[in-house]
Amino acid sequence: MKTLIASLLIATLGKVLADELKEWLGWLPPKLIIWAAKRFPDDLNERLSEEWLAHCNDLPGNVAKLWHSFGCALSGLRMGTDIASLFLTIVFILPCELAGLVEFFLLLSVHVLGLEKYPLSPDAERNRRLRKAAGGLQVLGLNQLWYISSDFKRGDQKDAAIEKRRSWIFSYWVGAVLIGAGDAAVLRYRRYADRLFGE
Amino acid sequence: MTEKEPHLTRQTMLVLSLLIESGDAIAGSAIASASDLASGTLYPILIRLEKAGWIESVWEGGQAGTKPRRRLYMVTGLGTRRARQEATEWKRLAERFA
Repeated sequence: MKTLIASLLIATLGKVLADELKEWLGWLPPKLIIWAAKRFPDDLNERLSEEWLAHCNDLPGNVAKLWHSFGCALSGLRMGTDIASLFLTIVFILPCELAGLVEFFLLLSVHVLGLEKYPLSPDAERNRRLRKAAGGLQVLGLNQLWYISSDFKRGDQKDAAIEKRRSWIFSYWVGAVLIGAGDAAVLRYRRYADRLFGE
Repeated sequence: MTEKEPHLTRQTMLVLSLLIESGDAIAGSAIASASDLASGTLYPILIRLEKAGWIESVWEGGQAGTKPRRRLYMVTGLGTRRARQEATEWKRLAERFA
């Protein structure tokens, strides 16, 4: 008897929960998309919300729609210029400071170990130029980090295969993540400041 | 609306190559399915490329307000030229590891 009641209860509750979940899955994506688009300046937010909603309608199934809307929310957080998205990235400020320290010690190693004698890879050189063009953002690029970290492996960096170079970055992923977070925070702050005070 | 140069990552080059290959205006959803890029990666790329003047976009036909319209993207002459330049540089770099 107990088993029968438990089965009935589970079946009923399961059905109610499944229906509830289905409703939420249908309701959430448009709300998330509109929220994400609002992170952008006025000239973009209406356009993006319409475009993203159209993309959402093109997708089959509620899970794909939800996945898409999370992607839009991420875009909003990454590129948004409003105070809310700035606040959300405040959590990056501490890693940014930490990244500054990591960068300082890595740069120190460059001078102490004389790594500047090695030429940058063409890719890293191009990144350096891009960064300079972007206003002298003094945060290391991943390629540079890669090269510098390779020095600790007693660098044969000029001749190593690409696969080996890839493996180096994983050895130093903590530094890479911190520097990426630092980059994100600095760029976000600059964008917000540009919006408030003009170029 | 031209801004500073976009950072040409592998994903950015993939998007540009799809737009060049198609030779026509295509929607963000089509680019997403052809490139396997998630929306959180694709749209920031499209926004940056458009701001840099490498691609441009128009609404697909249809009345605004009835249902959401797709935005169609196409690569500009500048975008095509810069993407090809970059691809040549990448090729040259890859040859150094061959």
